[in-house]
Amino acid sequence: MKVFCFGMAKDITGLSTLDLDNESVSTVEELKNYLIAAYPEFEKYKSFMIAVNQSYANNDLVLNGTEEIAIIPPVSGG
Amino acid sequence: MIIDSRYSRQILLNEIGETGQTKINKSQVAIVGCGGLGAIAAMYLAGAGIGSIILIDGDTPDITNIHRQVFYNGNETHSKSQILGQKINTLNPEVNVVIESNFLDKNNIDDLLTGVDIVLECTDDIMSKYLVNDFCAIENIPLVYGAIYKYEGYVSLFRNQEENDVHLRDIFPEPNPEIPTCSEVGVYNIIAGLIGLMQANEALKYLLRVGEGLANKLLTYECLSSKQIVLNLKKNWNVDLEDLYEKTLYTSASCASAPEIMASQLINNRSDYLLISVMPKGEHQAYDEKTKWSEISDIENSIKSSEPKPIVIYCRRGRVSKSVVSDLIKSNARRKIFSLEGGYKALQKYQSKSAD
Repeated sequence: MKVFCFGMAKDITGLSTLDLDNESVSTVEELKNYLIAAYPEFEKYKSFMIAVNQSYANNDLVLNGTEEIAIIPPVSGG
Repeated sequence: MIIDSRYSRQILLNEIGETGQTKINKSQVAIVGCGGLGAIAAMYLAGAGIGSIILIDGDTPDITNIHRQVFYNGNETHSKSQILGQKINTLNPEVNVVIESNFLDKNNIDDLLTGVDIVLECTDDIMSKYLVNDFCAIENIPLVYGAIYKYEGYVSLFRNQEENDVHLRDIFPEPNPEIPTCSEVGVYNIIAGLIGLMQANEALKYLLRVGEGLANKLLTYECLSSKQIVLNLKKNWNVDLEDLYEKTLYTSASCASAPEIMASQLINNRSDYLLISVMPKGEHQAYDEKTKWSEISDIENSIKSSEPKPIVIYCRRGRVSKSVVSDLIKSNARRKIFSLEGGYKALQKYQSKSAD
């Protein structure tokens, strides 16, 4: 499962694309929990959004691993 | 006649024409924050002939702003909104400019934003973004959202006209004070200009009712890869916004409540106070030999181990220290703790004044 990192997510993971093991993650909520466990700094930015196939994804959305997934963290600069 | 007019080259465009130009000339736009995003957006909207532009910013330009806020020089003593207002008057005297030299807050927002056709939210302050968002959603005022981080930026149009129109809370439900600012992580100047202009573009298209707006969409742009993605959003936040607005103070670094002290008071009674800087390590400047430095995360410890004098905490401009002090006084009720108004810049200013 490929996950694209935007903004701060790139800084937290050190990568612009994450390659995740599909088996541990089958919903958006599980993906969020996985990310927080793997990179505890995500805990601080809990409000990050997950986009699946270029659309906002609710927590209960089921993932099969072939989607285009992106982490969209909040940003405040101006 | 059109051929020689100021707006002739845009009137020639089918989507604008004379009807569109009249719409632009009759429009009123508010720009909250006249920094990297707001200043460029304001200049281009003024160029296009927006009838009336309200500029809101209480900040004065700083030399570290200028690489991305190219309409200032960093030596000014007036507010960004005042200076930008003058630039607009020179660029296009037909635009009526309204200047507000205070930061937007819950007390003045009603007077400043009610009745405008569209608002551009261009601040770098997370609580201001939620204040403007919530107010505009409640009052059905269209809002163009913009935000940047390093090389990336977001833009969206929150139309606030129909029940299902998405706004900021549908994307990021709660403000997150942990989000670092440009001064902490750095910012690429081009992204500020690009996102600011994209905000102006969304505003103009909305006013003209042409093209496809970013309503219910979030555009992301990244400079290093030149990649742009448009994400579809949906309504999923259904809390009673009016109730939340009533209960929320929307205070943050720029308007936290904390006791402040003037630079003159500190300098003239220097030995009465313990002075601690919370500027980022690389930027820290000591006022004198006795100035201490502390990491913000370690400030509680720094205070506990200090001599029992009143404490003055400063940062570069007095905004971060204000929010630090506002937190500290809650857990240290018996200590006298002040934030230095205007920060290190105010110390420098006062010193150079007394040297004259």
